[in-house]
Amino acid sequence: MLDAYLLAFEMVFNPYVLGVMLLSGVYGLVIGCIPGLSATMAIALLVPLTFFMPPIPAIAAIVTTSAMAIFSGDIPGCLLRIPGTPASAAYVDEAHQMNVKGHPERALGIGLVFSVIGGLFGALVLMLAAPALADFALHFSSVEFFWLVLLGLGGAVFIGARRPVKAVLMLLVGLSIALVGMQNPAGLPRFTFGSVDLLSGFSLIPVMVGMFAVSEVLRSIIRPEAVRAPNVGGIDGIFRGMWGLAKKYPWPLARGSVLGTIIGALPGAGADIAAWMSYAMSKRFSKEPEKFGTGHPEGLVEAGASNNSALGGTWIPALVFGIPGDSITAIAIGVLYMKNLNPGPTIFIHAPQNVYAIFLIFLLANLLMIPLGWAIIKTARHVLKVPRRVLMPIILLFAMVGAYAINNNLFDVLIMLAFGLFGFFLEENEFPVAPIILGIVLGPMLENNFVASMIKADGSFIGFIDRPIAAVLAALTIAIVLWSVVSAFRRKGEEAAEGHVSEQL
Amino acid sequence: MKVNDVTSGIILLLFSIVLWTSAQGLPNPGDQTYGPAFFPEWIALAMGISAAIMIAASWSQVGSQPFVAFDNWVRDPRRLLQFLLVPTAVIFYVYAVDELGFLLTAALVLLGLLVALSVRLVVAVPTTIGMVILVYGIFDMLLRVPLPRSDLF
Repeated sequence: MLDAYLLAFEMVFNPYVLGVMLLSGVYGLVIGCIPGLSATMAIALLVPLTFFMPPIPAIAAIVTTSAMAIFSGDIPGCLLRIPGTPASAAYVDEAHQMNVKGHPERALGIGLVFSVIGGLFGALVLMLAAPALADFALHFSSVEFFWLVLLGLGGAVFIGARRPVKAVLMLLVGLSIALVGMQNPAGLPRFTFGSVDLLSGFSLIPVMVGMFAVSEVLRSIIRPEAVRAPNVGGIDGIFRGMWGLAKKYPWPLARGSVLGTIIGALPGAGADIAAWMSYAMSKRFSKEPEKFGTGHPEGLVEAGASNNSALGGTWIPALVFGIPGDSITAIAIGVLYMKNLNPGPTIFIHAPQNVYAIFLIFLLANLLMIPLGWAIIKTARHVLKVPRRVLMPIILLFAMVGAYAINNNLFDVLIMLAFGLFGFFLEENEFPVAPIILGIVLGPMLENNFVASMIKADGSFIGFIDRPIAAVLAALTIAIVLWSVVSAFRRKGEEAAEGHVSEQL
Repeated sequence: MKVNDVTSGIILLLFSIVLWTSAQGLPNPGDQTYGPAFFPEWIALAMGISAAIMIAASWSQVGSQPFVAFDNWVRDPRRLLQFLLVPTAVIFYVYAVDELGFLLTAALVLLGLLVALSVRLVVAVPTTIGMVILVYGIFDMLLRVPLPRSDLF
C-alpha cells in the first residue's frame, strides 16, 4: 500500500497535474460564480479537453473544477441573492442577509473555510471507506451488480424527485439512447438506422455538452436576467473570526460534514440535496432557531460544510461500483471508462496507485481552494459584471468545438445541437435531465449484468434473490420505490385537501 | 413550447410502442434466448407502463390545460429570432466550416450571435477576435485537433 501511495504521490505532484489543477480551479471558480452556469455545465464543457489528457490530470481537472464551482456558487448567493449553482440555493437568503447587515466578508469567509473543512472530511471518508467497500464488493457476482445498478438508478429517480414518474421516464429515455449501437451482449448493431456514425452509439460527450451547455444557452436567451453588479466595496478580512465560529459550532460542523458525505454517497442525491437537508437540520437542532434567516452563521457553517463534503461522498459508489451519485460523477465515470480506468472493485487491486492518486487530488483540490477561493472573493465584483449575453455565444463556440474534437466528426456537433434542443424542451416541461445521463452511462452495465444474470439463473427470477447480499440489495431497491410511491400519494392527498387537485405521481 | 403531461405521456407511450415493435425486428443469430431484443423489450415495457401511469395521473388536466401552449417569448419576434439563431448558427457552422475554414466560420458565428444579442460592436469585435484565436490555440495548436482550414485561412 505504501508503495502504491508513493507512486500516487509521484503521479499527482508533478508540474503537469498541478498546473491542470490550478487552471481548472480558476475555471471552476469563475463558472460557479456566474449565476446560471452550473457546476455540471462547467464539467460538461471541460470534458472535451480532458479527452486529450492522461487519466490522472483528466480526473484532477474534473475533481478540482467541481469542488471549486460548488464553493464559488456561494459568492453570487451572498452578494446578489442569486445562487451560482443549485448547491448554494439552500442558504442563499441567510448569506445575503449577512451581506445586507454589512458583513459580506463573514458570509463568504464561512462559505470558503467550512467548504474546505467539509471537503477535506468527505475526502478522508472516501479514502477510508472506498478501499474497505471495494474489498467487500470483490465477492459480488453479476446479480449483485445488477441490483446495485438498479438501486443506484432507483435512488437517482426516486430520492428528491418532485415527480418520480417523470424521472423514471427520463431514465428510460436515457436507457433507450444507450441501446443504440453495437455495445450490447450480442454485439449486433441496434437502432442505428443504417448510419455508420451510430454504430458505436451516441458519444457521451456531445450528448452531455448539448444537454447541459447548449440548453443553458437557449434558456438564457429566452429569459435574459438583468444581473446587476453587486453593490459592495472591497471585501477584506475573510478569515477573521473563523476559528471562533469553528469553536462555537463544532457539532453543526461535524453534523454537516457527516450528513453531506452520507447523502453524497447515496445514489442520486448530491451536493444540493445535502445542503438543503443540512440547513434544515441545523435549524431543527439549533438553540437559536429564531435567528435563522436573519444572517445567522450557524446554518451557513453546517450547510456550507455539507455540500462540499457531499462531493467526496459521491465518489464512493462511483469508484467502488462504477455507479454515479449524481450527474457530475456520471460524467466522471464516462471519463474513467474513456481512459481505460474502468471503475469497480478490481481497480483497487489492479491499479491502486490510480485510486490513491484520486484521493490525493481530492485533498489537494480542497487545500487549493483556500488561496484560490480568497482570490475569487476579492475579484468577484468584477467577474459578476461580465454580461451573460457576451458569455453565452462564447460558451456555444466552445461547445461546438468540444463536441467536434472527440471524434473529429461534424456529425457529433449536430448530435450536440439535437440534444441541446431536447434538453431545453424537457426542462421547459419540468422533466429532469440528470436521469437521462445516468441512463446513458449505466445502460450498458445494466444490460450486461441483467443478461448475464438471466443466463446464470436460467430465466428464473429466484436466481436474482437467492444470494444474501443480492436479496438485501433487492429489498432496498423495492423499499425505495415503495417509499417514493407512498409519499407521492400522500403529497397528492395533501394537495387535494388544499384544493389543488394536481397530479403528483 | 409547453405540452401538458397527458400530451407528453402519449408521446412517450407511442415511443415505447415503436421501441417494442422495432425490437421485434432485430436479428437474432443463433436464436439466443436473451438476444439483442431482450433488453429493449424490457425498456419499452417499463416506459409504456410509466407513460400510462403519467397519463392516468394527469388526466384531470384535460379540459383545464391546453395540450400544447406557447410561452410569451415565442410571440416576441425579436426573442424568437434570437432563439432560432442558435440552432441556425450551429447548422451554419457544420455545413460551412469545411468550405470557409474554422477561423472565418467561427468568427461569423460568434460575431453574428453577439450582435444579435445586442452586444455593441466595440465589445463584440474584439471578443470575437480574441475568442476565436483562443479556441484555435487551445484545440488546434495545443491539443492537435485538426480544425478545418480553407484556402484563405
